[in-house]
Amino acid sequence: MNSSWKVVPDAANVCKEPFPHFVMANVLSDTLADSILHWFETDAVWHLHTSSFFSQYELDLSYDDLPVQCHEFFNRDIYGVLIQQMGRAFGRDMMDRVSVTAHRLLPGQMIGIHTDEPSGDCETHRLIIQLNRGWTEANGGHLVFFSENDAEAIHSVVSPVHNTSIGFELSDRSYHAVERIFSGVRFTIIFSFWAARYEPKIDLAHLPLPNYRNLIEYLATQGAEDTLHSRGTLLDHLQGVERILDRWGYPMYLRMAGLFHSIYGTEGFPKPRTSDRENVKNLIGERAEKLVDHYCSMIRRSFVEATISDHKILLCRDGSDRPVTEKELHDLVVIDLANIAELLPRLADKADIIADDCFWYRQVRYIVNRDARIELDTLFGCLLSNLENEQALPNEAEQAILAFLENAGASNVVHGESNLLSNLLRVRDQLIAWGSPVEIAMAGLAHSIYCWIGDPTPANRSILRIVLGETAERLVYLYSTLEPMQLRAAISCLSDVDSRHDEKTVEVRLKEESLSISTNEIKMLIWIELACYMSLQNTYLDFEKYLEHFGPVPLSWLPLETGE
Amino acid sequence: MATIDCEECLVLEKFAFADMDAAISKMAAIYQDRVPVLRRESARQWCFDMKLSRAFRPPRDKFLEENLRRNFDVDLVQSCALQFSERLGTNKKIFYGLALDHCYALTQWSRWYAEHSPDREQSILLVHFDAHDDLGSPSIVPIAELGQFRSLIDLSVMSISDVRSVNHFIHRGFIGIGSFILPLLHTLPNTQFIHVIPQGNEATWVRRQKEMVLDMEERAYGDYMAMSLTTRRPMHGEKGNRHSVQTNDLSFLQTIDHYGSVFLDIDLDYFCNVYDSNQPIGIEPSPKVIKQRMDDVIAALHDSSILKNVEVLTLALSPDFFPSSLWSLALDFAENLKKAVSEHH
Repeated sequence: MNSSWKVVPDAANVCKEPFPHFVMANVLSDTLADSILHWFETDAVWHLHTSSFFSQYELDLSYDDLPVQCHEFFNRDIYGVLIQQMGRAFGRDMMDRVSVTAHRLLPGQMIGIHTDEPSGDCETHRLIIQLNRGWTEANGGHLVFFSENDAEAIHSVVSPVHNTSIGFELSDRSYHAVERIFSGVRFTIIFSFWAARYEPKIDLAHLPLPNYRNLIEYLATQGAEDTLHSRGTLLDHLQGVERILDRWGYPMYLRMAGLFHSIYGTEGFPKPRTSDRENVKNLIGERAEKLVDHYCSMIRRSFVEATISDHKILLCRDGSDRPVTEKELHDLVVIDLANIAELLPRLADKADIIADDCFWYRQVRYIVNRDARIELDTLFGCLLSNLENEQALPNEAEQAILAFLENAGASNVVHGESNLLSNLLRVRDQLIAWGSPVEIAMAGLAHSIYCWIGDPTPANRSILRIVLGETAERLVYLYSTLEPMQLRAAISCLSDVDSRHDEKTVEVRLKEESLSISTNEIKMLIWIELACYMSLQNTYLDFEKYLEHFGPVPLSWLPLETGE
Repeated sequence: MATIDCEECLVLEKFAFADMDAAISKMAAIYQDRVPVLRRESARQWCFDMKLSRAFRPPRDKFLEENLRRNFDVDLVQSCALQFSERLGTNKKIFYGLALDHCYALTQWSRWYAEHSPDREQSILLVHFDAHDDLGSPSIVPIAELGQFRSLIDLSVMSISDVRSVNHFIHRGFIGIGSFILPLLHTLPNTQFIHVIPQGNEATWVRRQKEMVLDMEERAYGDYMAMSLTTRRPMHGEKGNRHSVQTNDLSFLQTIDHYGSVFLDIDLDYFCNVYDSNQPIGIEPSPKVIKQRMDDVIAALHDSSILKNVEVLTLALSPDFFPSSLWSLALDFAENLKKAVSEHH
């Protein structure tokens, strides 16, 4: 490439928000820029292209018969260099593939908000070079970046300054638009690139973790089951983090790392469960173990700073520095946010923690995927809204869900021989009388919500998780979506399992997803079902006949009273 | 006006029904003048909204919505609870009620009952002008105490002597436009019932002595889902001392020699019943013809002993039966009737 001009900067000059992008001035030599612009203005043959959100003139530059004065820039060697530079700038391996075109926008024309999100074989990165004569702010035509799909959510504005390049990564959040042209003509050269390892959303998500039973057993033997952690056990918390990562669609190694994220002790809980790294590697794999080691070793403050400032070095608890790759840093962010998402609903009255975590989340929001963003946006939105409104936050999940049910009018909904609220309270009382853990009692109290108030959409589920907690919400969800025949089949499949530690899982296909359900969850569902049945006073269906719909159930799975 | 919620929400356990059609059919039988509409379902439950049939289905009377708005400033849903009450006569002893839906006649009878506290043997004369007998069974069962009924759905109780509970049962749909008379007849079994049907209609029965004992015996109230209600109608029997007549002859009124309390109850569809959903839409008579029929009724009442003994006067505009375009005529008729009753008191 001619050393007198450069259109792509180094990686250090790539901004991360609202999505990875750069802007660079004076990219082509004045002579070259003027030659191309002159051709655009005179002999080039433009074709009008109109769609629902834009209208512009386009020029295909992929042909070989371009004017001589443009050959210096529009040739295959230059394209090869641009591919390499774009790959380096965005930290991606690029395919040897590029397309180039030019756009001409006239007064009145504009391009609405869009993302150009890659799907299938679509390009993943864009490079734009702006060309025009004597452009002023009053001419309009600014390129605008948005933090979300909202015209109000302007993140930054790039003026159409002549001979400026703009590059950005295309994703589901690369919202951008071009302001209407008021006067003048706005030319742009558009390069498109394809990242070599662009991974479309794949079906590997949501598969059961291999050897899950062994993993849980191992954690239990390291004391996770007996260690209290935020109103439950450490094991509950670890399983919750793994489930969240699964729900967000992250790959297995990240879920493994989430499940073991504190095994070597952390800054907050320094006591290690084990220091036998080889054993952990054998259980969860080298990649996941390395992340766990990073997560457990680092001082959180340095992690936050590394992410925000992009200095990829973690300060460790033993005083050492540890370099990490950007990918590892992003993986650690995802694990940390899953950890927060699992924990924070139970700390809903801790304003300082919520504020800190929310600040942190906003800094790294661009790193996580769409499902995670939806859930975390909802989570922080609800928690902050409660704090801002100075509402008395219930200290207990039960008070919260009761207030929620009452406000939603559960006492005005007819159920059985009384109202729904009375029925739900009876279900809860019955479960408590059977000695159920608090999560099951809470699930019993809320079991009708996805029938009555709203569908189990991701947003609704996020809200209920905040109120109920991870385990109870999952039970409510399962109760609402698992058909009786599926429950029966799951019972049949798992009924040879009969002890707390002999956990097994069964794969169940629900309407929109496959879920791995454990023996323990099946047992909890049976208890909730039985409590619902018992709550209907003067029931007209014989109890033994009712029990038949479960199929053969191990007696030890039933509450003592009904088992007898 | 305050909005009264007449559309109940209901959560049902799926295991109690063969399928959703069975659940819908049961709910439609229990909730009078309502249509069960599935709001949402989960794997184990259904959630139904019991929509007012008048608001759910397009009215047959195409001018109904417009006339509701113009005359009463209400929409179809709000109209479900519309009723007007006052006391008539020099001493204000006469209970008067005008409602859109005929079931609110029971509200006025309840007011009378609360004030008079009659014993079970008291004989009332109920004169019912209507194209329909309105003798369907409400979705309630009597309990041991006189004048008290329990809902089939839950444990709530309605007492004839408690107007609020009566209105509450009507709002919830347990008592409908075709089933509001039986609670009164059950409470006061010696009530004499005269059903005056439009001239030209054929009376299916002319006179019954000691008849119409109701099929409303006590039931276990927990079995509402297993009950079949659609065919429940008054049964003939030997209990009580009822004297019931169905007639299309206004001159019959002159033969009545009842000197006790009279409840005069008029459904405007007696004069014109063109939008009845059980029949093809008929040809609406001219206002002149309707006016003549109304005048004839007032004249016949004047010629009888009824007016001087009236203690409760109730009228129903019956939307989607009686044409809303004739409501101004109906309201004039109501005023004339009030005046006629007041003249005798």
